[in-house]
Amino acid sequence: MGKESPTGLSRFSLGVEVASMDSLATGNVVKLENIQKSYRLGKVEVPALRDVSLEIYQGDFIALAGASGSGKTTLLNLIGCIDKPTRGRLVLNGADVTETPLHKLASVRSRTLGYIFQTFNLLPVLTAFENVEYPLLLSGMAKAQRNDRVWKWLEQVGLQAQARQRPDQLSGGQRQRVAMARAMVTEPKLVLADEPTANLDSETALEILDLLEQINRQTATIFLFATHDPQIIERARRQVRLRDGQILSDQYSNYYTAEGNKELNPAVAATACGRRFVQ
Amino acid sequence: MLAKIAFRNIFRNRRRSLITLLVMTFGATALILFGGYKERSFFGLRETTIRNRLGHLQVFKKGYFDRESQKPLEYGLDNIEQIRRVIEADPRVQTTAAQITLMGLVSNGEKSETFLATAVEPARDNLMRAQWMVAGQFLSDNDTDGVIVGEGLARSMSVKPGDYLTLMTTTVNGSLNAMDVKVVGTFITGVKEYDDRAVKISLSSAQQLLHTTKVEKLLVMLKSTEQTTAVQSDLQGGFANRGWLLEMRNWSQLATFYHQVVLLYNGIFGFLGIVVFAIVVLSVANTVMMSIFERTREIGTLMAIGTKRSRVWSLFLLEGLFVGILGGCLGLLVGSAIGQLINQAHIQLPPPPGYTRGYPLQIMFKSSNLTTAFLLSVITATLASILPALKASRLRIVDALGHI
Repeated sequence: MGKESPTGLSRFSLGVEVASMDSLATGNVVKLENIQKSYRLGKVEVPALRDVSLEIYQGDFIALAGASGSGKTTLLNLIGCIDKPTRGRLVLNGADVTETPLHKLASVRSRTLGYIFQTFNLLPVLTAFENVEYPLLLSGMAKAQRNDRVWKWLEQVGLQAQARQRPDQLSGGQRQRVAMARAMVTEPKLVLADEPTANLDSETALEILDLLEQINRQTATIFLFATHDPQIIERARRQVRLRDGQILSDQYSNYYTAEGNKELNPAVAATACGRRFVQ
Repeated sequence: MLAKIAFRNIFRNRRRSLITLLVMTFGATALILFGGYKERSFFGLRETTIRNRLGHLQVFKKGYFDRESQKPLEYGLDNIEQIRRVIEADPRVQTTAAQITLMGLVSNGEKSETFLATAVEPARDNLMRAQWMVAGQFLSDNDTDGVIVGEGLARSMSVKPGDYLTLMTTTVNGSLNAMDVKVVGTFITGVKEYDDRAVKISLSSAQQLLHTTKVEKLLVMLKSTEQTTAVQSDLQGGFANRGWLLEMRNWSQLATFYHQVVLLYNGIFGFLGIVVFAIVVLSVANTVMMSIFERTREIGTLMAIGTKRSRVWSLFLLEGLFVGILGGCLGLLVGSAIGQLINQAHIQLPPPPGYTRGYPLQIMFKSSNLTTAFLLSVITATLASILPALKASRLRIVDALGHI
């Protein structure tokens, strides 16, 4: 069953249904209970999500897969606290945020969450360094500490040399790396990525994916992708498939053993190999 | 960082920013030029009124304004030399000049007209340059029977320098008296109605005609108009200490015409100011709205990564503020440059209503005017950004992110 992953780790495909392992779950970062979301289209209510329940744990590397209109982006937006559910309950990092108005969740977004967008969405008037620095300014971090943190993440994404360049001087892949550094610089618990590779060629997309996976393994940061990209779906350790606003399946299909890589973050190892999957 | 983003955003759409800045510059320039012209007009009119006609202060005998005189100079000043010594002892005083105004009939032997005469001390009055001599010369202290007459009156009486006229008026005792006078010159003041009736006569001749040694009033000329109130209060104190029953009026209390002009000009310029203000507000608001429309997704991104509404609001407000500062600075530069050009071009404006002489178009640069133009630019641009900025900060994040 074992085969070599592109990163050189042993990879297993267990195909375990997460729902059946629910009793083993502890310490969720995100908990969605019976979430419904509908939009008004004139006088008609159009359901986007129907009765979705989901728990996300530290170290998760999840692909939300599904066709257009299946509700992936809506789910991502709800978890990202930039949209409100019509019904249901959303618990983020232990706090029930269902009733909290969105504008009061700005600090939750800046501290707990990171975003990566399909179109990168960098501020064109800021350099790569300044774009990465921006979220830290929102948290009021001291300048010296801020600088260290920005350089650390620019180094992590391999863009130190481009730090003073503005987005229009960077390639698509480089822009997405800046966006990744911006998402990671506050060291959030959860990074939400909406089609992060859709605007990149397949080679660059693979590089970005490797980088995200590496960060996930090292930091146990949760990555949640809304994607069509088979590459991402295949590489994700957990795959949540949506259809017509409902969860069709939720599987941990691939994972890396703790033994396979000494660098693996203990939290990732615990989630992927310990509590949730008994070998 | 917010300021950095706001400032850089101004240069993002250069053409649009340039148009906005041009509008702002136009607004500030218009305010500087209008304001400078207004200030120069007020200053010119004020100083002309003071130096040529009223003096900064006028001293009268107590009761002059309150009680009806039954006879000429009933409330005239005696002993002006004593009063003059006290007044001229003040270093802020330039000079004093005694005056009597009298009315009566003037005749050339064939026809008679009413006249309005000002009796003056020739040497002192000459300093005031109240009139432009058209022919002949001004009165001298040695003239015992000399007069100068307004050009209109000279024409009506068909006299020229060297000719004689007869002045007839009521004396202080109520009887009639007449005096032959020699026309030594003709003049204009610029006000046609006045020039058609005006006579200037020496004080001693007038006193002789009126059978009196009194004068009607003493004009006080100061070195600087700004000191008027201070000198008035000091002199009043001095008069009271000496027990003199005198009262004073300052130029502002006497210059009815000046105040009417100020009111009129302020009305006109106020209206123009509002028009300019409206143009600038609409232009800046339009720019900010366009900018928000184009940057909707960016606003969504900012809010999605945790930027608070107040910061988004501040960002657009700052952009307005920076546009205002830039526009204000450009306006100061352009306005000052055009103003200097106008001042050096020596443009002559046509005479205002009721006047016979035109006057030069001059722009006065006053720091308060320049500051007002600059601040108004800044405030206008900032105010114009408030509503669009508020709109930006209230965008729904999901909608903004989905905006194309």
